[in-house]
Amino acid sequence: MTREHMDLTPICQRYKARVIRIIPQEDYYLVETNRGPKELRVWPRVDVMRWSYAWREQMARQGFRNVERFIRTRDAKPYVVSGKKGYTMTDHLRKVGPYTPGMEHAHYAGQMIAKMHQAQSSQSFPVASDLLKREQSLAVEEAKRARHVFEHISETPLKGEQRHFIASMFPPLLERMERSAELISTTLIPEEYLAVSHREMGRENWGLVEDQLFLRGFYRPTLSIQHRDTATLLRQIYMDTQNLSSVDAFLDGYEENKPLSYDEYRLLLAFMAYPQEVWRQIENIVHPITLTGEAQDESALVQVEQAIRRQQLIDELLQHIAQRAERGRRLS
Amino acid sequence: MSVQDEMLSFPIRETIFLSSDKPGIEEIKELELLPIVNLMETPHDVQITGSLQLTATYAPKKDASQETGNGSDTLVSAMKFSPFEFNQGGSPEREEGVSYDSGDVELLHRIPLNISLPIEKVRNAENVYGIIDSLDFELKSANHLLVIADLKIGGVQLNNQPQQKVEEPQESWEFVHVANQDNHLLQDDSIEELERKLAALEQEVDRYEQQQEPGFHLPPVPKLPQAPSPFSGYPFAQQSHRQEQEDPYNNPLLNFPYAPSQKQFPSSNPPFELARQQGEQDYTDYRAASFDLQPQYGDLSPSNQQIPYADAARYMNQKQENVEEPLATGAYKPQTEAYQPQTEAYQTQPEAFKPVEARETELAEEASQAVANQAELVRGESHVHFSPDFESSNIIDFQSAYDSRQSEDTHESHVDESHAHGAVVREGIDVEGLDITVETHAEAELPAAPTPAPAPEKEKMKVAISSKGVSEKQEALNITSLLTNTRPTQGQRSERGEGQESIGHRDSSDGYRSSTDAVSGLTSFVRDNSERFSKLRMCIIQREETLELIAQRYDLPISRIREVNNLSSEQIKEGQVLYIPR
Repeated sequence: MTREHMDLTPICQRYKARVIRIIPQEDYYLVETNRGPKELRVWPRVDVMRWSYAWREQMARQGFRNVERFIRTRDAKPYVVSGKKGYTMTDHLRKVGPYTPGMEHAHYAGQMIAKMHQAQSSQSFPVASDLLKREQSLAVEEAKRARHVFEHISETPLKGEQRHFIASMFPPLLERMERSAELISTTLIPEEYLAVSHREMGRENWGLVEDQLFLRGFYRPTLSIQHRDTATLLRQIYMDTQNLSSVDAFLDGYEENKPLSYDEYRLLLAFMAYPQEVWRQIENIVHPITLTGEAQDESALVQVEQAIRRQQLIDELLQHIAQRAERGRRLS
Repeated sequence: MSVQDEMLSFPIRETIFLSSDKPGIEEIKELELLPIVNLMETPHDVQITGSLQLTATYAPKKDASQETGNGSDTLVSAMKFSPFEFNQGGSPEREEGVSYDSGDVELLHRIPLNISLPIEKVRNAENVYGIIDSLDFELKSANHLLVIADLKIGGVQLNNQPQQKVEEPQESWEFVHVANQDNHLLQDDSIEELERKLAALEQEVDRYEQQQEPGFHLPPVPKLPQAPSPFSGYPFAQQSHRQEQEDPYNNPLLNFPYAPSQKQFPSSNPPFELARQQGEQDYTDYRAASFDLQPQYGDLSPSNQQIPYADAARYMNQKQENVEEPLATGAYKPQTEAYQPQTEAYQTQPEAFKPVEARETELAEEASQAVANQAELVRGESHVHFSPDFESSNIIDFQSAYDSRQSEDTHESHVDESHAHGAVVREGIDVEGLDITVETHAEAELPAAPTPAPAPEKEKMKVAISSKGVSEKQEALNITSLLTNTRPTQGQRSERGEGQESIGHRDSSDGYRSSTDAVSGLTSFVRDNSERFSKLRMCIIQREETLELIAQRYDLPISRIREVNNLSSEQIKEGQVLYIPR
């Protein structure tokens, strides 16, 4: 990706630290200063930057300070806006790598995410309903596309075994995609309770600093409806730990600060049920076939199998969370 | 299991319970039971293995929760998916699967099948087939389905069936022995014939004795042992055969091993003497006559089967015209299969019993005719009275048969023994005797623990735990928020000042709000709903307009306008936006 040339000197001069060196990284600039290394990030969307600043600050005010916050400028501004772009500077945490909250940190992670969602809900972002519609249409369109591909692949001449294998993957795949689309489309959460959050959240957003869980990242987020990020995080937690107790601990911590309604569980499960990885792997196989008509090598099929095995774990997780939701429903 | 239409019929009753996470059955729309079986041939049996694939389509029963408009019954049921199939080349068939489409629901169920048939009952395994007959179902409840059907297996050789005829008239009998071969051919005579022959032999024996020198006495005829049951083996056969070969005369058993009881033969000298004098044929005739029993008459079930006397007499009249005595009850037990080897052994005795060649041909012809008559007898066209003294009604009155023999020429009493035994009707094997193993395993779904019905949804009390209003109220009480957000103008100014400051921006003395910023709709992320708004009018400066003119227009002091717009001087520019307070 060609990076546009930009002059960061005026921006760096806004901050109190004296810049020694600027080293461009993959998605940020590592700025060596007299006050330690800093990360300078460019925000293409200023409104998102402001929204991100707002929920971080609110979390900090409510006592959750283990979250990355923006460094203020000389005139106490948390960010710099220049040329329709925003710039933020944060501390660069060395020796902090991606981390998956396990049993011991799952509960606290749930509390933090609940607070983050609460903070995000307090910010009026007028596009929450639009984001929901976008998710609904995306799910429906992908399901339709998958079905179309299935019909097409059935007519493509292939080796008998491979074709049979690929064709046999589609019925359960379509079942999951269509069910997910149906549940997302029929969500019963009122529009006024919809809130914007990040689309993805994973182990890269967590770090362990001095044995304390640290929430980081979200610098170039794709926005979506709340609980979509929770869905991706819960899937990741279960696949890494394969421990339903960790998932329960996370949800317990979450519901301490922000209880989940039955409809929210439903939306959460709808996002989790979508077989994203399996569909992606099958697409990698099917797309060349539709173009050239040639079968793929065994390695591609192996990756499909691995994705399917992970999906089977997800199926167990879905059942577990569904039962949790039903229990809560009966108690309410 | 039963036999219907020459096919083995297995009734099937399969109970299917739907688990609680599956929708109940409102109406069955389609039901299909398809046998998917394989044949495996082993040295001992033919195994039919496989399963019966039950496929049903039904309309799901909608309960209250579904009527509320939810997309799925429960979340648990909504999160139940069909598994992925891993085997490359395998079919994505599912044993059971339910789709949660809004329409009909498909149900798949498999009934394992394992049937073993004796190998001797199956001529050609390729001809064995199975069909489903009389498929029906009964819906006991929304989750309880009963399927009833009949599985019929065809291509199996079934014997001894009431409908099956043991002998058919067009069947050709293969005769093992030719008439001119040996002298032990026994004519297949009826009972009356045998009795007559026996009587004739006795008479000849008496005459012979009278001609004999005084002092010669033949050894008395020993009493015959009690004849065994009709279907038991004959223990003396083999033994007598061997002794016969060694010393036919001195073998006491050879005298009358199979002779009827004494009462049937009042004469003390049975045909044995005659056989000794006249050769083997008479003796064997006698013996054969004693063996001329059940097999010749086919499947003689007890009590009911009677061979008409007239036909037997008709046969006997071929040899002798007068059929004087009716068939007397005899003590002979019907010949069973056990007799066969013994009589076959007799067939291998060439020397002691050499027949007259001239008579053998006649006897062979008579034997064949007797076989035909026996066939008629089996069909019930002839009647033979059987003694009630014996277990079976398959009793042949030997007396009349022996008498008939005696009235004939001795050389005529050749009986084709082979016919007697070649005419043995192969006994049918009862259906009960079939070694058929049927294993039917029903994969019934046990009902899962009933999940408690979901509590009826109360009227939704929307308690916004984290609603914006609540949080905003809390925020309103927060000192920090008060400091930052309470004063709308100041707060907005500070926020905007933070956001708007940028290099190359317009000088703030000209007003921090540029037209771009004013139009932007994304500048109030931290807008507080509790802020108080003051109504302001906007005024865009036109060409050659001055601040004084505008003040006059709106009847406001210039200082007021400068204060509101934060103007350091009275200089204004065309296109500049001024806010006019009310």
